[in-house]
Amino acid sequence: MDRRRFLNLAAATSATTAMGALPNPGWAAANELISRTVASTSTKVPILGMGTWITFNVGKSKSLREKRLDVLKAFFEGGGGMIDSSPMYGSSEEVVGYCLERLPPQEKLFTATKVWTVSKWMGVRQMETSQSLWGHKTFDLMQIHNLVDWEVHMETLNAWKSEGRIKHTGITTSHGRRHDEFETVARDNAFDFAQFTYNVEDREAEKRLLPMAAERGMGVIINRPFQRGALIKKLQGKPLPAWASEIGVRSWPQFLLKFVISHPAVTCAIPATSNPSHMVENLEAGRGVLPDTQMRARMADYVQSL
Amino acid sequence: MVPLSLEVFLGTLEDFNRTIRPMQALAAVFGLMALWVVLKPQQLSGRLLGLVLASSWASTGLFYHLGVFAELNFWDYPIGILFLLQALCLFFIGAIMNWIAAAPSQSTSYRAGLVLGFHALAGAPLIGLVSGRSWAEVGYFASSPGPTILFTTALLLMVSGRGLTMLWPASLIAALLVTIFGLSLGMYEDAAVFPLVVAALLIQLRGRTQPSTG
Repeated sequence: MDRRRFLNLAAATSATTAMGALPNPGWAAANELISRTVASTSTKVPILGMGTWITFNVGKSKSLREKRLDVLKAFFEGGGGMIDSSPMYGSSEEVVGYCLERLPPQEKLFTATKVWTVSKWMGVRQMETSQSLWGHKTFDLMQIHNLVDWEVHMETLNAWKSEGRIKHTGITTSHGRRHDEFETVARDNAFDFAQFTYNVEDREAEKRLLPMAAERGMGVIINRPFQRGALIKKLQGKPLPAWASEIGVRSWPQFLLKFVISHPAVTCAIPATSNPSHMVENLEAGRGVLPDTQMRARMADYVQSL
Repeated sequence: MVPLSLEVFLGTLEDFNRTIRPMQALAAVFGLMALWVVLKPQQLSGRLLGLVLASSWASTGLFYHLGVFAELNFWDYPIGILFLLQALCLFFIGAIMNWIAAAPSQSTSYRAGLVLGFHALAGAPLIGLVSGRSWAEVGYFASSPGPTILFTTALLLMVSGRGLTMLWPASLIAALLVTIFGLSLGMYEDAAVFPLVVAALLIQLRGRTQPSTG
């Protein structure tokens, strides 16, 4: 390990410690991602996960499934572990299961999916279907998708958690307009995780959701770190600031991801891609130093100025 | 929100079209027959139109939406059911009750219907081909929602009869969803479906409010 890399990793470790997360004991490994710890169970989660919205919804096509297998290989080889999906994402869960079956068991695998239907009976059936599609009897995280019938599913999730069928419970929203309701539900109930949208342009979550999650010790998963690709399109062709190299950023996706995951309350972000080289590039953002508060403000100002 | 990419959509459509080949051509022949019996009405025209249109909605709902795309897109479940319900309505109104009446006319509505009918059978697929897609990556009447909705709308402009008004809501809802889907994926012929159905409805309403000159 060269001196520069050692210093970067040391800085990252101290940064995560300062943020209330444990330093990653495996930090010396070349491809180790920074990880954060979920307070309720002390489970460590790599700071970058993988979303599957659209990208893994490829149906029965064998050639496309093989391409997604390459994406997942790149993800695990790059130190990734957390995969997030949902029954709402068409065939994504089935394709994730197909890929996992063809890869060796992954020690760091953190399986996260959602329940997205109404009624207890339908919810249980859907979660059992997810188990079958993923090829996993237990999930690390089961989330209630977009607050759908959350009161009913919360009872089931708590029962499943006590039976050991899931390790964590969570609740999600990808609708910015529902932040108020989401905050109330997340604040008044004992969920381990909250998942919502946050990125350099959509910073609404900084006002209440992120502080609330930090205060309650909830794990936070961030969806849409690229605003469904709109931010990448917007920034494409624009120059990266010279000071981006100070935080090890070499591309816009890394810039956007570093901004998101450097928020102290964020456990991990889940960018989605169907391109293995983009996966490798994304994961680079989860290593090295993370921007501090001043740098984060500078990053947001810069994007706003473009 | 469409949960799949253009690459996956076109790949799936291609597989679907290759699997059902040559049903697309057969359906186009039935479509032309339907246009013919509107232009040259026969005793059983109404029943035949009801049967052709009902079959086209049923096959699209059953095979395209529920059979193939529901696996990729949750919206295809309700849309597929909507297509089956519309098929039942068409079957009842046309094939069973024989309420559809065709008569040649010089009205704007009739002429617009004729143009739209040919657009649904040939124009819309042609737009897909001109956009650089292969024949299998294009939607066709009776196996794909856009052309099926447009062809039905075309005939609604050209015929009269009891109960036809109840066919418009499903056509409008389905057309709106097809357009949203088309816009999301950059499929221009699908993006145009809702504006065309709305224009057709306006033409028909305008025709009804104008005093008859015949």
